[in-house]
Amino acid sequence: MRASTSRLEVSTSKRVTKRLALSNFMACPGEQIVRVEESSAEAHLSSARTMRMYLERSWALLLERSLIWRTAVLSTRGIETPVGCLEGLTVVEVASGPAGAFCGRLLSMLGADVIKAELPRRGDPTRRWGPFSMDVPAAERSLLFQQLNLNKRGITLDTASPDGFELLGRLLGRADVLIVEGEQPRWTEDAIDTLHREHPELLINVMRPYGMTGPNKDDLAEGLNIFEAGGSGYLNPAGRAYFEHPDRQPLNLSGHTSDEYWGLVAAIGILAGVLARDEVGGQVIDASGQEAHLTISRQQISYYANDQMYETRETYHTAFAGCVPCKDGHVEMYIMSNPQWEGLLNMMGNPDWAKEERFALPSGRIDAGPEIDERLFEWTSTLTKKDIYKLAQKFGVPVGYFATPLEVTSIPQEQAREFFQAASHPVTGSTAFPLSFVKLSRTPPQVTRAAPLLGQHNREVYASLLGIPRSELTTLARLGVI
Amino acid sequence: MIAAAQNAVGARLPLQGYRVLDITTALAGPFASMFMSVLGAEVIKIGRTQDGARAPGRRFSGTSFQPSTDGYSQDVNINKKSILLDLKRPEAIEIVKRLARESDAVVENYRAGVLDRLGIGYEQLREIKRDIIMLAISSGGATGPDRDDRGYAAVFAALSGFSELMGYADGAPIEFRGQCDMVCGTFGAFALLAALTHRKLTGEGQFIDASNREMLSLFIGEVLSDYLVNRRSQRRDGNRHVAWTPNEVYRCAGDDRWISITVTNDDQWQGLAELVGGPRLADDERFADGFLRWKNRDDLDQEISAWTNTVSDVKAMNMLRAVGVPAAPVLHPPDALADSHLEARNWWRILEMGEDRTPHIMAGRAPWLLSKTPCEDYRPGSAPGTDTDSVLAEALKMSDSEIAQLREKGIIR
Repeated sequence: MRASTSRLEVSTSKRVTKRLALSNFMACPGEQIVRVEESSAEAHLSSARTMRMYLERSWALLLERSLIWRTAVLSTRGIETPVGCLEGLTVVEVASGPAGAFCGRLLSMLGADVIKAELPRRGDPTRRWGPFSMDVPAAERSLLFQQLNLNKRGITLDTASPDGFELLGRLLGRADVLIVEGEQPRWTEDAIDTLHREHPELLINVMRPYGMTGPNKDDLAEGLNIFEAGGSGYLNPAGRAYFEHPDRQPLNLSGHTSDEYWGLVAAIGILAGVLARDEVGGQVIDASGQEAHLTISRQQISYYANDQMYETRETYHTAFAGCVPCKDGHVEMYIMSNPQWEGLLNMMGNPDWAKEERFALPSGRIDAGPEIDERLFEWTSTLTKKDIYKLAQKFGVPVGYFATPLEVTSIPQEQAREFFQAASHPVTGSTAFPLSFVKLSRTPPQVTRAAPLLGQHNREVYASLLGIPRSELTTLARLGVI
Repeated sequence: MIAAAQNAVGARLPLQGYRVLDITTALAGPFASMFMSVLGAEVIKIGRTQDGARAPGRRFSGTSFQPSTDGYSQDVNINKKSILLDLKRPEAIEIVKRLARESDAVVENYRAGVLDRLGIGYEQLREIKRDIIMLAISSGGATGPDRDDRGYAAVFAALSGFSELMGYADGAPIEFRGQCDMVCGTFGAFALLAALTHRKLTGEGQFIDASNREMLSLFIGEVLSDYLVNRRSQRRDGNRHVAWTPNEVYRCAGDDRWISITVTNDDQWQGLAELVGGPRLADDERFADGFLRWKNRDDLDQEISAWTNTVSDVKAMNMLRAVGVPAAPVLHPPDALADSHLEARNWWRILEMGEDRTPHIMAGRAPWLLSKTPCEDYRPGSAPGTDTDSVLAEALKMSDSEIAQLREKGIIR
């Protein structure tokens, strides 16, 4: 950090700025290229081209990048052992689904000490969900589990047994936050009240699909059900995907997003509780999955309730463009304003058909939507996603391509920002994950450890932290409590 | 049906005492600061003077222009104050700086570099207030070759890899539009609260560079790792779940009525099978365990659809829940407003309005119930410029004549 600051001080003349830009470039994209080679054979084959493209862009970019930005970037990199935002916060996670695990993972990435309690022997259900490293299905090879539990410590504990619940109580004496989600701890309201009374400073975050009260409070629901009950599902899919198959069923979000978004909303509630704790102490946070999803449905529901507008899968699409098929997939084109329309025409080489007066205004283009699509698709059918994307970048038109997992992992932007980082796991070795989702300049998210093996930190937590004698631990293990 | 706004007098709000400047546009930014405003922070939304003149009359729905009473703008700006400044004028920039000095955090989602050029970027504000926190949400992040990309939801969602994985196996990918900005805004709010926690402990502020693309990519993390580790580039496949079959949405009787059904174990399957096809189905070898159900899922879907097609979604839900099967109808906006569970949880609020606009809006409450610091203070977002005078007077201690002068010069509205 010191070195870079002093370099910045002298970088006033243009020549020095150039040199600085170069050294800066060598420092980061050098690593980036190594990562390309490690991460994908395909990217490796195209790495020469990627690198040239990257060089060209980086050069221009770095030259114009403001001094301030360089300071921010370099100072972030320069910190040897960064401290996480939430360092000092101890979280106990008793969760068995992606929702609770993602909530804990957000906190653990920012430095909280998250202790995940799993059922003895069985372990977390997501250990049995794919994908698996090297396609070998085994409890310690689930990439989903590993991704959801980065940076956490892992213990085994059967909280349903009286001994286990007592042990949990001792652990909570050392904790700031308890995350409760999923099947394992189906605790009664009384049990939660008891925990709250015994640990008045503890934030108890209870994640149930429909919340802790109301007629549906005991009903079961998984990610898909919560999403559909949360008021967004009726609009998915819209656009091209809908018109291709208008009779088919509504669809969920990608991956485990329905669960994970709930975990994200719950994490906000937890931090609000943390910030208020000095004044009011601990409290119980009732974080309903349905309500988390109603939050992202606010816009559509508000349109209906307040503006008398009711979108359906049939109406919720752009007049033209949007998801556009091309030679090797689809591109997304957002063409609304006149400058965007003109940009598109420039991209297409100003075809004659577009010169008609009726295309000049947005309203005319809305009427001519299907006609424009026909012409547009004719043009895109001869081009690849990346051809179109490159042209669009040149002409400043908002276009993105639908990137496959292969493509996402080799996009220069994500590489330049070191989005993917590896954790060293005792069973699967160096395993790469998307990591740095928000870059906090002083306290960047860090991988400090891979996901825990089942019960990996039992001794560390029970013996060292709680001071339980080893003989007692053996008994507890024999009884199946830990 | 709907409870009137209940503003519990005297109850403490979790972020009471915090002040946040909102320099945002479109959706992800305002949505991030909405979390702050429902949690009780004082959020001051800085609009451009030109916006005040724009009638809230027309809204583009994608295919046509619709009349709008601006209800959603009041919803996403819930509890926020609004001031209007002409940010092209140095005097207005000076006001922003003075406000920043009195604030804890700034939320912005303009393109990378825009605020720097205006003189109110992170480094510039840090000169004025050492521990300021700035949350900057942008399409691809504040660094890297794509930092100048404009942020349109469907475009960056496509680049993030999120959209390519969503859709029918034999169909086009789904454009992630509506909820996309909201998801990213939520992420931003989380990061901002984490930074506030850090500042409370250490006194340090910081800059939060939040890339929409990265935030969306994180949700498909295991799929990306599957490529990085196994070289498998997964494809979209409807509602398929890695472990559970069925995990599907089935058509019910009625117009566009559907129910989602998930079976996570064999006991649940027995409950569902008895209901749908009686002992014949419950004993059917083809569906005896999770793997067989997955293998014979087309037959399975036919069996289940044959039943759901004959019943209403609500009836199906009640019957399925009675036998312990996770099931929920696909909720449409009118259903949400009439839902008895949400009513029992006091979800909907009618917010009283000021003058000149609609008499009220209906809005959902905060998505958590915090037992000691309930978020029970809800006001519709102020009309643009409503609070200019009071904010300048209270936060900056400006006199009436100073304010009048600024207005005369067109610096404020």
